[in-house]
Amino acid sequence: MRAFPQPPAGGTRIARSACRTMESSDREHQLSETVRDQAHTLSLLKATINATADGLLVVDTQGRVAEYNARFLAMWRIPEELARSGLDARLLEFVLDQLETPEAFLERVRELYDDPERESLDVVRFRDGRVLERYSMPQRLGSRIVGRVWSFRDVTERETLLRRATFFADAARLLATLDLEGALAGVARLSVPYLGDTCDVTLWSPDDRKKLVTAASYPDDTPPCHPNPHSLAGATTLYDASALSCLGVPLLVKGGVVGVMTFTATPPRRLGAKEQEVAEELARRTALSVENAKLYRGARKALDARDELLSIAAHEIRGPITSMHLAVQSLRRGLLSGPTTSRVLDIIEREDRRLSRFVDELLDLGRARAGSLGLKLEEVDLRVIVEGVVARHATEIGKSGSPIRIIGDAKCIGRWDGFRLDQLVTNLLSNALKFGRGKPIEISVVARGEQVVLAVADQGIGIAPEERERIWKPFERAVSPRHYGGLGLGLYIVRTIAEGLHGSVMVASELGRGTTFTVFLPRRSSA
Amino acid sequence: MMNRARVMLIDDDDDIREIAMLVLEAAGYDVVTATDGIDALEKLDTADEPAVIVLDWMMPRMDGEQFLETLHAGPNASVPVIVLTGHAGTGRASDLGAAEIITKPPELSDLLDAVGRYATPAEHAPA
Repeated sequence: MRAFPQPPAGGTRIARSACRTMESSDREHQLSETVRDQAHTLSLLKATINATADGLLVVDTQGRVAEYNARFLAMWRIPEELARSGLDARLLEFVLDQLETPEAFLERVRELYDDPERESLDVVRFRDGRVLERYSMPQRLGSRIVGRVWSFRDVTERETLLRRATFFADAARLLATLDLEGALAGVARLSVPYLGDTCDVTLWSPDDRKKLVTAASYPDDTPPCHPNPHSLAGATTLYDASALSCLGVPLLVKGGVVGVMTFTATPPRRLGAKEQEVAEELARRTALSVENAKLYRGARKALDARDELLSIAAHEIRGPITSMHLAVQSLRRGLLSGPTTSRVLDIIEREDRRLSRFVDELLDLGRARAGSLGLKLEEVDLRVIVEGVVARHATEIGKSGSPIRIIGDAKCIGRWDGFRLDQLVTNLLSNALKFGRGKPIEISVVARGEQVVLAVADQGIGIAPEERERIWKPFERAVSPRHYGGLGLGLYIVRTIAEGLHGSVMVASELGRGTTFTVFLPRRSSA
Repeated sequence: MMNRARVMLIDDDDDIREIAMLVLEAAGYDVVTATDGIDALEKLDTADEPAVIVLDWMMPRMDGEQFLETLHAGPNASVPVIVLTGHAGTGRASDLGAAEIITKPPELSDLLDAVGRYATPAEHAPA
């Protein structure tokens, strides 16, 4: 502070006047300096406000805009004229449409205006993906609050990385389950509103696109989704449909499309490269989860099949052992004598063969799976083989009650493996006897040029359409093993032999009316 | 009740049925056989009630479990049943009121003793 000169005590009038003049001049000078200082300060403040990377807004206690900077207008896309109007309420009204959650935003603003002392720090999310950090504090003049300062910082990049990391962490948690339906529903829910306003996940069977495995969508009332054809073909696609901005991302497992994730957004929101990048990664992780669930189900099924095989094998072995056990003990105790002894010995012999056949079947399974049935080609008459099989099974045929008729050509010569062909006919005949309900069975052997057709037709229980693929797989059967014994390998071995001889086999069936198995064999197999 | 020599034998395995029938007949019983639960129920309807039933557990059409349930709901509910099974589900047979459970393959003496507890062979039957 500068000191003013004091007039000498007891001085003259002139001297006192001179002193007053000097005093006035100094005051003017001081005032001028103060004004200059204030202008400088104001200029410094304006420059600082406009140079900062943050958007700044000051609103007085009456809701009038006291100050703002260009960055604030740019961040909120507010026209200069609107800002100049000076009313905070009009600015608020203008920006609401841009926000992800306008209601929550307004609520927060009201809370802060209602509580002038309060400071606050939070984030504001825009529908276009931008994120602003919002800091607010009271403006004070001395101890009095005269307004509120709002500061906005663009933290989109930081938030994008953070949100993406959080999103994928949540997705990983949801997908780390074997409950595929639950996982997909969770992923659909998680994706909204981050990747769109709706999310639909559709999953098909890898073998048949018409067979829907599961579907999930969020919100729940999302209309059924028709995946984009390009996405179905395996390409991520951004497209418009009925005024919606859409994104289709294929779910790829081992290069095949097993499903599609479809995201939609309602205008003014448009889906773009950012959503695409995240959605593709999400789809990759989802597909991996689908694959894992499938592998688990396969492993579980294989374990169940193994357990069932062991159970059936135990049953199949216990049958003949029971007969032989009772037979041997009854002979040893002399309980049976005379003609019954011969019947008991027959039983022992039959059971011995039954066990041998069972062991052969198990061994054939191993060979068939290894692709090494070891076919020995020779000139064979299929008709002779069929007649031989029928003759050998006279007892079983008699017990089944099914009369057998052989029709077709008297000779059907080809170059095949006689032993395996015998096995093929035996399995088909056994099958027909087992499921033929005692009704007539017809076996036809017909030569058609270079091909021979063998058909075994029963009039038994038939096979349901949904079971017709399954019956060819090992350990599968169309009926419960509790009710029909056997390992369930018969038809698997039939197909393996037919294909090993470069032929094929097909089934035609009607539930309750019967089944026909038809085998097509080239006369000269090069197997 | 040891008052009759008739034994009903239910098993889908032809050879087990045949050897068990031969053995039981040789031991003095009158044996009637059935290939599954349905066959057995039909025969129970038309023939005299047996003193005891020897029942296999795993069978086509109607298995041992279904047969026991049906039997105990009908007029022949009091006939004792000996379940002959290689199947692990013997707990269920016990729950359903099987008189005895014999595991396959059975000892001949066990089978004859079990049947003998409920039926008297002809040679020992009172005149």
